[in-house]
Amino acid sequence: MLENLTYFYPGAEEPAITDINLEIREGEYVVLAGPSGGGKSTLCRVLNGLIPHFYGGRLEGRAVVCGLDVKTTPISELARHVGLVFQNPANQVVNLTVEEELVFGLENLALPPEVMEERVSWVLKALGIEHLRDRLTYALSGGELQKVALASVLVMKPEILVLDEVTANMDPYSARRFLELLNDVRRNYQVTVILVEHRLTEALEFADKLVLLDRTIVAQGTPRELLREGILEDLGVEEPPVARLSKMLGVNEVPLSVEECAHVLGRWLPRRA
Amino acid sequence: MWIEEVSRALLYERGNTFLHRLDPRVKLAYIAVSALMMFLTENPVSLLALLVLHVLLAGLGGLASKVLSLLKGLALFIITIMALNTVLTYFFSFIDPLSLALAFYGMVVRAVVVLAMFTIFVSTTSPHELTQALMRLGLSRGYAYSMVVAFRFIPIIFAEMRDIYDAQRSRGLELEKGSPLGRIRKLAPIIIPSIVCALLRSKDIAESMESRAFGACEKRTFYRPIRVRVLDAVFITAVLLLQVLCVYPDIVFRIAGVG
Amino acid sequence: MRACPGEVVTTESLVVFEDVWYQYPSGITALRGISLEFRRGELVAIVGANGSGKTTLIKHLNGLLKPSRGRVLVFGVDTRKSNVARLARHVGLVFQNPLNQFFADTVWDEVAFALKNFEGRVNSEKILGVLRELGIDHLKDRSPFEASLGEQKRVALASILVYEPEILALDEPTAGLDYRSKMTLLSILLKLRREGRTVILVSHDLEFIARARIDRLIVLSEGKVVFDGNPREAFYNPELLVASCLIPPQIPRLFIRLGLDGSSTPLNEEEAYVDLRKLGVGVHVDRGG
Repeated sequence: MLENLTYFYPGAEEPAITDINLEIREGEYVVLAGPSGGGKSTLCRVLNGLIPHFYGGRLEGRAVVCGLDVKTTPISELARHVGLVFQNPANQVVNLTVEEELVFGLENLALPPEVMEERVSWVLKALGIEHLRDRLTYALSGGELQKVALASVLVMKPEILVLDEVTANMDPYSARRFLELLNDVRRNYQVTVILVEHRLTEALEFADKLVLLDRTIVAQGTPRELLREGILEDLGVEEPPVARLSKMLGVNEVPLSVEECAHVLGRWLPRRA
Repeated sequence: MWIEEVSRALLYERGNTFLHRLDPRVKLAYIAVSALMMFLTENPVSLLALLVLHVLLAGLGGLASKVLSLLKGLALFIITIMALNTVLTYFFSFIDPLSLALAFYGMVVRAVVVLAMFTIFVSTTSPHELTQALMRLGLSRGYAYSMVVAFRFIPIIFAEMRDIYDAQRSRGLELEKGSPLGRIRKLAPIIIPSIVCALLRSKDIAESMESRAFGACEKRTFYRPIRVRVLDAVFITAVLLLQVLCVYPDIVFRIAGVG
Repeated sequence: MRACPGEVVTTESLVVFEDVWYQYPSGITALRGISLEFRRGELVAIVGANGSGKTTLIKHLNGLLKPSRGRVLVFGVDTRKSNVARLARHVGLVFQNPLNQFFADTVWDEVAFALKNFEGRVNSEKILGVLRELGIDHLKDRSPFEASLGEQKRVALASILVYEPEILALDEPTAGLDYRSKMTLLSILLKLRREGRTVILVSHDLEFIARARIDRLIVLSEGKVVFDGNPREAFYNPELLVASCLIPPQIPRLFIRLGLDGSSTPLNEEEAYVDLRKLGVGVHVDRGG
């Protein structure tokens, strides 16, 4: 929960984000979108304490995550509850082998080896990457590396997963597979997911809630509501082509996927035998 | 290229030889002891015996080929330095040629022994194990982990420098042409982006580590804890005794009651 | 499958790939028998999944990589008999990560670099001209590191456009960009196309390509050319795209799903709107109220 949140990077005259009021409930799947420079990454880093503890600067207002006050709780404590997955998996994955990367967070938390073993097996299975366990990290492809990065965060069993533009460097096919995987994980293991994305075409299908951010929250609601209101285009944010098309045609419903759109538009077309 | 030969020889490879299974702290002790032993003697036969011992050790661990390729890569380098050293000593201190030759021989043998030990250690100890060993020996986790991270990112940094070089060549940069001073100035378009990217990368790495609670607890646990076992004790004793035998054969024989 | 390029107007061949194979020192064979021609004035898009050989292919255009087998002719010159500096004069390559090339104090110096290397002197008019064309002249005295990603990509593009290479090749120009920056890039590309430049676009962003009015689409899969021709044919061939690990853009998928692809093949929302209106789809909307 964020109340009247405003943040200034050290030495900045203009705040990166102003007057943010946002409430995210347990189990929600939230997509955070907005133009570049609008503060999405900043907001992500508030959620796990990198702001203000790692970056310094001035954080005004209130930020409470999983019952903990971000301003007074150290990152190491917040990291137990909030997992952050970054855009570039090559820089996020720090160890030489996949197994070492997965146990990294658990070793930091001083968990006993038996618990580590259990969690590692579980996360490898959950993401379907058991075959990668003994591989060297520099030999992995981009897609595999991103899954390992996700696994290394998930293995700590956070209540909230924050993903900052993780599909930016992926090709659309891998991106879609990754988002589907993420959705499975979310449904099977009850995590709250906050996804920052530019490529909304794929991401919006799974989202409960869409938040539009341009230094301050411009709008929040279900994806359909916001698409219907047409705010996305004004903000310079991508609208899924089928949604845009439907609006141009004056159709009331807002489809989020090709299937839905076909269903909606099919009404005007003669039945095919 | 010689640098690739060297880096291939130094790459850690997973394996299950007895050398892999030794506790890294014991391996560090092995290096310390052997280094000491090497300098306790000038006897050419003893030195040769030590060399053979270490190479055999490497061979037992299946590392003979690695040691050889490392030697091949650095041979020219070593011989040049040693020769230069010897020649300069000759000109500045009038020692007789025989002693000089012996000294040269001694240096080369010691250099090879050092390389063999180094290879043994680096090829059978994963950086992670080494980090754990150092942390248990008292090094703070920040410094210890920075080694692992450095290792992990070496291939990435090289790849990135290649990309940077490609990008600048595509804009007409030619490093082969021009005066020596001009060529050095031309390196700026390569060095500056490399440094910038490395700095940005290090920020990402730090964020990634912090976000996974690095530094949360004073006492870290380890997934695969290292332990000193019987094998370690046997190894270090054997190595120590054999080296003493090489260096002080007469003492040993006298103790054993021979002669 | 080699379809006849339908809309290409000119026939002057500038770059020819003759059965090119390329194997990296690590052993990976990235290109397997590529035979292609690039002609003057074309706007070509090369698409494929990550690892299909796209970047390897364009590095052959200016000699950064030379074929293991076969040959590449750039304006008639075999790349193996030339060097990067000479070839880069004719083929400008804009790489994906602008931070891999920025080293100067100001955007101006950054853009001037290639000009100094190729022409030996700095032509202020040209530099200012290209900065204006890309809408970044307000940054000319600022550090390239301070700019946003979209601006940085335009600086990188400017630094190549400034010396007016005959062929321009862009590697993943839309990676990491937000929607607004992509549209800016799109308008720049369309302007270049109108000016008659030869542009080769390497991307996996098919939605972007669908709006870029390209003349010709080449699909790469596992180092081979599996399609070369009219983009509409490729976008309406889902089996081909899926086999190459690509997702067709939404509009073609929609039309296939609706069973309309026999009669009309729009690539984006505007074209789809027109076609659907003709079929009487949708509610008449008075956009004023």
